[in-house]
Amino acid sequence: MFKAMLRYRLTAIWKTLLIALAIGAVVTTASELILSAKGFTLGILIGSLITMGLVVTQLCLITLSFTMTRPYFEFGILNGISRKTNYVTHLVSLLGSQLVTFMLFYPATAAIFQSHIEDNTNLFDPYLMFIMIIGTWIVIASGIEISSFITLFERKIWWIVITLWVVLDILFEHYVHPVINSILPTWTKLTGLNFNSASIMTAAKVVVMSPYFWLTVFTSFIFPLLVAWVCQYFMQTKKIALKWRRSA
Amino acid sequence: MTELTTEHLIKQFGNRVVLDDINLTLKPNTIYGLLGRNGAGKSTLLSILANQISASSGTIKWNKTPLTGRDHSLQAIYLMSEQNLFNKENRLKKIMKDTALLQGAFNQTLADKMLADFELNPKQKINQLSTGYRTIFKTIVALCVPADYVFLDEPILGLDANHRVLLYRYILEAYENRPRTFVLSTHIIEEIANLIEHVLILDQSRIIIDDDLETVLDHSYQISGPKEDVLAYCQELPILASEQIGTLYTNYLYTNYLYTELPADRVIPDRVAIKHVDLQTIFIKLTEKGREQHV
Repeated sequence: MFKAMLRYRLTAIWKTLLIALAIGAVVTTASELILSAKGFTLGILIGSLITMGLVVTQLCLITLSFTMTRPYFEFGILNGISRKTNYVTHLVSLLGSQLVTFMLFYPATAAIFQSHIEDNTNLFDPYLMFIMIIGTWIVIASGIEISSFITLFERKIWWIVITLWVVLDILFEHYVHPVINSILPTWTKLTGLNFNSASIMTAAKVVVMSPYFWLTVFTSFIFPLLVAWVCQYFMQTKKIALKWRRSA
Repeated sequence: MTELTTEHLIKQFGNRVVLDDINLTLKPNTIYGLLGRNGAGKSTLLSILANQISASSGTIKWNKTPLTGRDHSLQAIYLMSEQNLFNKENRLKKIMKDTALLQGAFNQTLADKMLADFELNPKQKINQLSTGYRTIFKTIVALCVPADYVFLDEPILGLDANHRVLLYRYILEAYENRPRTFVLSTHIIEEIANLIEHVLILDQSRIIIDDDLETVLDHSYQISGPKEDVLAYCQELPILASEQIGTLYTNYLYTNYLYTELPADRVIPDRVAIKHVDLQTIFIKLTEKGREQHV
């Protein structure tokens, strides 16, 4: 059941990615031919295609994280797939595809850029790559969270909750955070980053090694996934989803 | 084969009780008719049994094992409902292919035959179909999945008479070729009366009838004649409803555990006629509002 659901989701993801890559390749090739007619070389074209591949696949996966929650969940439920299987395959298919596409396109893109960068920036630096992967995952996690949330609460209530969320966040920043800082001065040290005009790689290392990074990973990646899991656990078919009652 | 049972099942939406203390057993290889007026809770009951929504309380048992929580998966049950849970942008062919993938099997031969008979093009997208054709396609998929329990909620929604007859034929054919349990929920009672073996009637959130069709019809009576004769004969009998057309007075009866049949020792007046009624009539009399005045 798990394998079937994963295959179902992966087929949809990779079909979309291949279509997007094909369209992107046509557009990139045409642009190269038109814009750099005189200086056109096969090397530049291949470089452009690889860079385009990286950008297009990452953008596609981010878009899919917003759009593929509901239809696939409902089709799974119709066919007796448990909510847990639905959710796990959702994560594995999106995050796995992101890893694969990143590993396919990033090294070549990095190599091309590396040959053009004059300073000592190492784009293959593991800390830097880790941050980039986590960065995309954070956006994907937000997409899964928002689409799960909207599917659960339908149209009527989600914007009220999101507004409340933003208001609470602002209140936290303005009123709670200063209080915490005054009570626990070390909090500022823990959450602050000091780069001291370091290179990108050193800065990446500083970021990854800091508690602030892991706090961010938790609040921006793990926490949205937990919220999405709770939403999908309670998710029902669309007519029966929780609704904001007019009388409320 | 496995039985599907519910014990003290309750479903509430806010303060509104939609299902109240539902206890029933669905047996293998039986065609059930689930009847009820609009809002009686038929679709909710089927959705709960298929784990698409959860009950507020109560137990569902599959082969005497309780299915606990919201996350049990049960591919032995397939619910075809009014809602479209297919991806709207998908073509029929793709939906069947994906269903086969998730279900592990799919009777493509039957599906192709039905698609051809109903003149449905598998290359069409589901959102391009009319209500009737969408219902037909959803029913085709439901008949072709390997589930042992198939719930068909409004399988004739938007279908013309010809298509309805053809669909009933296919349901029977599917049942004959591979016996399984079907639960048909519909408002067109007289048409499914020839199809079903067992009747479930939901009224005001409760199951009021859970019996074989034959038994239900055996218990249903229409007693007509002059008012005074009919009233005299029907004394202490469980009258569901009464009506008067001209001088003809009619009482509708549904005999119960107190009176499993009409009293044999009671003399039937000459001008009084007694006959059994059809399923639709007895359903109406059982579920119409204001019947409490007569019961």
